[in-house]
Amino acid sequence: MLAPMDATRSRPSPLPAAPRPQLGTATTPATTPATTPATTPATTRPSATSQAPASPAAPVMNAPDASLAKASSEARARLSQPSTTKAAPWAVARGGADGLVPGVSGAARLLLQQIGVKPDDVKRLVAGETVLFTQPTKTGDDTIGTLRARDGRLDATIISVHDVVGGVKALLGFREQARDLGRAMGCETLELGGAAVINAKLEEKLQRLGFVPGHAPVPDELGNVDDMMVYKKTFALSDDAG
Amino acid sequence: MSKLLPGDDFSAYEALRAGGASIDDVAARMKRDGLDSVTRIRALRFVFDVSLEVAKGALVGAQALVEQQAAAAQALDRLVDDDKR
Repeated sequence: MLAPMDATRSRPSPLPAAPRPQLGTATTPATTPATTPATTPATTRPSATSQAPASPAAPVMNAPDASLAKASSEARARLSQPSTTKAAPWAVARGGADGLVPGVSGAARLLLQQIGVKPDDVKRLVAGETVLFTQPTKTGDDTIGTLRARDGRLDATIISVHDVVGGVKALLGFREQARDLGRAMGCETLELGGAAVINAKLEEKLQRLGFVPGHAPVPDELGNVDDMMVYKKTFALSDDAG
Repeated sequence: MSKLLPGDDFSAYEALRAGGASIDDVAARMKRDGLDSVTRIRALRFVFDVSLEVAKGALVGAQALVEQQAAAAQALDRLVDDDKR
């Protein structure tokens, strides 16, 4: 029982008028199987410092004194060389300015998977784009959020927690995940955010805790065209207590 | 006006709206149809031309969302307690 589209609305239909698919046929563009390998071979990763070739003289536990002395002198020699990049971990994660394919550590890749970032979006993330993630929950709808990593800072924003039972747990767990991810990606700071807050008590509490209201574009996947209000607070990741 | 992604076709839900269905009714129908939560938000925003907050509210019911965010406020207290330790 489908009534014709409202003729007063000028929005063009994204698809030809017929044949009409069934309800709920919204599809996302076909995604190719992960074009990024699950793990990037170490040999293809850009390295901030020149690596000593593997050799029997490489430092190993319980090595004879002569080997240790040789390894030590090699390490001193490496340290005395000027670094090829200033922000080493971040430059490695983004591929630096040399245009190399960005690499993500195995730890970061695992965390991204746990957080719910699609494999195809990992490249976009390390390129500095905002990516959406969804975390399935046992009792409700997905938890939805965004990540953006740029200039040594990871922005991690929760947009929607719909899990009635596990929502609070999801919120608490997300902070830990975001912190671990930021560190694994070599970021120096983490900006935690909560978007589209509609509860006055929560807004008040966020502000008391130092979260500052701001705006960010709504992700394309959620309809875009406007901004959403985001309460944000920046944390230093170098702080062990943080 | 909300944006669509390639492949989106929400015309059936537009028809429901034109037939007088409320945003909550349509949100429930989308869930029954198996749309994931991201697509449901995008679709509700497109069909009803509403803000992200309103679409979120329709997904779980506005009252439930208020309760969840109240619980989130309590969770923040726990975060502060953790940081103090």
